[in-house]
Amino acid sequence: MKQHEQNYSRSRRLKNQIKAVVTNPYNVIVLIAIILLAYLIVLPLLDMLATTFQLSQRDLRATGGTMEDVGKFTFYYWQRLLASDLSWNLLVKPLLNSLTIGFGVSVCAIALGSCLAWLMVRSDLPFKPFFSLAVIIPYMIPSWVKSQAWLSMFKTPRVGGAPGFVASMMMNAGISNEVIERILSPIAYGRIAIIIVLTLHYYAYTYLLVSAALNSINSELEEMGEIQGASKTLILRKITLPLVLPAMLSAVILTFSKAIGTFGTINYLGAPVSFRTLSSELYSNSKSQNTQTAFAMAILMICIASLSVFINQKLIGTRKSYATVGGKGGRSTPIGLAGWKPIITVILFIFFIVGIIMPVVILIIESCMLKEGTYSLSNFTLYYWIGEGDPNIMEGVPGIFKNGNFKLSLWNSLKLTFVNGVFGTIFGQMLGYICAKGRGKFHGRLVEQLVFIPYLIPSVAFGGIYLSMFSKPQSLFGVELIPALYGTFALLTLTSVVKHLPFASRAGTSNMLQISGELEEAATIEGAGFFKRFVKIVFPLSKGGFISGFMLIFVSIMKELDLIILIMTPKTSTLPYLAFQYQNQNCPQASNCVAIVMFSIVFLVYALANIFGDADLAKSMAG
Amino acid sequence: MFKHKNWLAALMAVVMLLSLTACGGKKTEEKPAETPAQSEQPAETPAESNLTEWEQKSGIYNTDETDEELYQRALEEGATVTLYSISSRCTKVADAFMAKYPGLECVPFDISTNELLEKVTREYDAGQHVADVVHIKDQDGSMYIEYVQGGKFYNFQPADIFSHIDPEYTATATPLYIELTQLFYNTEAYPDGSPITNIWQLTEPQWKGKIMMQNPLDNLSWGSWITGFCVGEEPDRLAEAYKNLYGEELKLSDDCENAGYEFLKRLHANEPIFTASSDEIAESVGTPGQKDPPVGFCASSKLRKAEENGWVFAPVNLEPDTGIPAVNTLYIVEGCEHPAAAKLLVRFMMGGVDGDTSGYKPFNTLGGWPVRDDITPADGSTPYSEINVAPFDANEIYVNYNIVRDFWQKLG
Repeated sequence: MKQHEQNYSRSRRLKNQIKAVVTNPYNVIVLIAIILLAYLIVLPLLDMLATTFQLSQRDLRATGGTMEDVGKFTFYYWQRLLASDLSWNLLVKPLLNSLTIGFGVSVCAIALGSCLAWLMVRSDLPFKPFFSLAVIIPYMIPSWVKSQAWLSMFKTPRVGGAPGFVASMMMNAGISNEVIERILSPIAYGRIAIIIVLTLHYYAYTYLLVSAALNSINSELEEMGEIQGASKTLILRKITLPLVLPAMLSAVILTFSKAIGTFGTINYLGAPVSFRTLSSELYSNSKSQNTQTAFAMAILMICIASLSVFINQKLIGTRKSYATVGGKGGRSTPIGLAGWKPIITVILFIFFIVGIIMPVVILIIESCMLKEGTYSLSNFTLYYWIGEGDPNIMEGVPGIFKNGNFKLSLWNSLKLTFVNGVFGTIFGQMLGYICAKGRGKFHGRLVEQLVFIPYLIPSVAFGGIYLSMFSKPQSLFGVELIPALYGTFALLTLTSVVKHLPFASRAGTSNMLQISGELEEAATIEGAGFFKRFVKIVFPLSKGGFISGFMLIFVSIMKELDLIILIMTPKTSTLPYLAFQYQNQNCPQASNCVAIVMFSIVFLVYALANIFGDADLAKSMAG
Repeated sequence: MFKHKNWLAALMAVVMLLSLTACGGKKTEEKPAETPAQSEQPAETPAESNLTEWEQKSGIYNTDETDEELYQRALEEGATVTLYSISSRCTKVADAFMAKYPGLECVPFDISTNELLEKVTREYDAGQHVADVVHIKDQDGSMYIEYVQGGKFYNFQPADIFSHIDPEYTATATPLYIELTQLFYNTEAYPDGSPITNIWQLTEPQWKGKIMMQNPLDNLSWGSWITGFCVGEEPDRLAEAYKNLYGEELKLSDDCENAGYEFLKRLHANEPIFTASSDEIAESVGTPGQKDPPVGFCASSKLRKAEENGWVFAPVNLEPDTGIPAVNTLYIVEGCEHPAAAKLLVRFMMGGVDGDTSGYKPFNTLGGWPVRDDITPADGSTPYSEINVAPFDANEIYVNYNIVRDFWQKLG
């Protein structure tokens, strides 16, 4: 009898447990999210993986065989990549270069970004509003603009063309070409140049993450240390640093992955000295139609990045992050810079002028030059902006504001960025909620890993796979789930949203982490259900974060080309496509004009959001 | 306990995924069977009974229709045609086409080679017949061997136009115009003519680190260009040029099968400077006011930019030759919904037969050579027959492309 009773209660307990799990909306949402992510991210990844094991027609030449063998299982590509006499030049050397770039950029960007963040948040630096607006401009301007600016500064005579500013100064001083070459070449091209230029691009991530974390520190903690007699460095080391460490590690992941995955800057500054990384090999192979090898490389890069996410999860563990939206108030007292104040201010001004304002100014000046590289007043023109179509300039193509396509592209770009921004943000916040509440648990870690994958799938591959997947109706066990989406705006939105989920969900995670669990717990005790809590507590408190997350996606979709060009129909044109067309027509000036328009829109939207919407890119990325 | 459930959920997700991919896998395997194998000579019409439904309906092998007949049928079948092109000039072609054939709409899409192939293949495989006509270059022979012989693209070669074209170009492709990769030098620094006339001079020590080009690993066109030196009769030509220059036989290194590989090996050893784009090369070589400018290989089409940019450079007519030509080609896409309009557009772009060459004009510029004997090249062009060009054999390039690319990769 007793035995029976125990069984009864055990089975009842189990039944109740199952009931609790199934009826809890949170679990249902987690399940739906995992299924969707598996379908939208893991499936394309598996598709890529499968491709690397299928023999393509192109490689019948090397392996022998007939048309019958096309699509058959093969180890040819992995063997060629990992264990052949090509491996050293195709994989190992570029991989080592990638890693040095990744580590170099991470270290420099974290150092620079953290210093700036500390100065902006915790010190009594003057002109803070100006600095904090200027400090994220690098994230908005394309990295090739900075590469171009770098070369116009340091280009040496050996590569021909007009020498860079420094080189021509040295030439005027009577220094011989060989000496100039020896001094400038290591700075102008290759590893050092790439690390510096990428650092100037990606320090923005660290700045955003770390300043958000610093913002949330109650200065009482530091003051407590001071009362106990700790020195300033000890406080920094023992109190401040541990508190911002999670944010720094997050920044490392974003920076490191982005630095090993980027191509433009590395190609631009690395090519003259044959400095190649895994990403340059990936793009070269892709452009040489060696799709399988390119995919295999992309998968290796995804593995490296996943490893860094995994290490990050292990390092931070289940440790709680610090909720700032809670029941208690906090305050922040700026720390005096004392005698250092003027010096630091001047250094910052110089930094902003050289590193940020100059590339923008160069871009604007170049858009107004009739001929490239001729610096005279008569060479200045507004033709590329408002020209009517002179057959002697640009093969008769009119300036951008007279181009019928411009308005259409502008409209398409705005529509795309706003719609995708809204959808991306909503999904990002949902996923962020899961990552935040599931922190340290299996499902939270799984979602965090899954969401990160699209970050490193090359856009052309990602766009191509989506084009194939959704050009036909999608069905499961004979039931049609999704109709064919080819050529629809829905497909463009779906593709862009998923590709940009890593940003969106990271913004969401930090946003949700700021909301203390005690608020929700209090509501639960009062009997509020999941949806009521979400609508009445979580959503209102995270409104600001919604806008910030929106901005992050908005900025990156505005710049997107490779992904969208595959999905769009010939009649949909966007601003980056227009810039590409002008570049193709050998009109870099007009292309610059479009880039300036894009930059202005992004900046305008950001400034408006900053003024009216309580948005702050910084607040949206910590976590 | 809870952990357990999560694992279960994950396992379920994986199982579902596997079942999904299993379906996906089958689909891709079936594909090759769906496309009928093409006969070896696509230009010849297969027997009536072997035609696919689309081939019959579109009359793709019928090359006798006049422009007027095609125009009428184009108006009936939908009055629109879509052109995917690697050239920005496709917009001008489309405008001229619509001006000549009122009522027809021509949608041009300017897209780079890699994306074009990815897009058109994915769309084709998914049954989305968007592109009617494709303008691309067959540089490595893959257009012919994979796309034409694979039944995805069709060559359309009406006799009235093609009687004006050298059959050397028409065996595997419908050629539109020819571009070259040429060596350029700075005419201001070398007023007496090019410092280099024989291609082997590029392997001499005084040009170390002073030759600009794009990395052949970077894309299909440069990869095909270096392949061109290693196949067919080109290695013999190179060996002979070597003997002419130095008066002695060329000694091959152990890893070099022929003079082509030897040339590539020595060129690579001379540390050429690679750039991210062809434009940069033209600028590097052609910028005036340089004391010791480099020489550089770049696309002949940069010639038409020279005046606008104030570049002072000229191409060299190299011994034995400047490598293989890059032939721009046109194809009609299998299964396209506007075959008559597609045929009309191809005829229009090829220059037609009525003397109106407005469809050809945008391409007939300095640095591009027409393939038709009845269309004169742009003013100031060197006649194509006077330029030393390597023979182009699509099959040879296709078979050797990856071998040569790997050879270059192994060099470092």
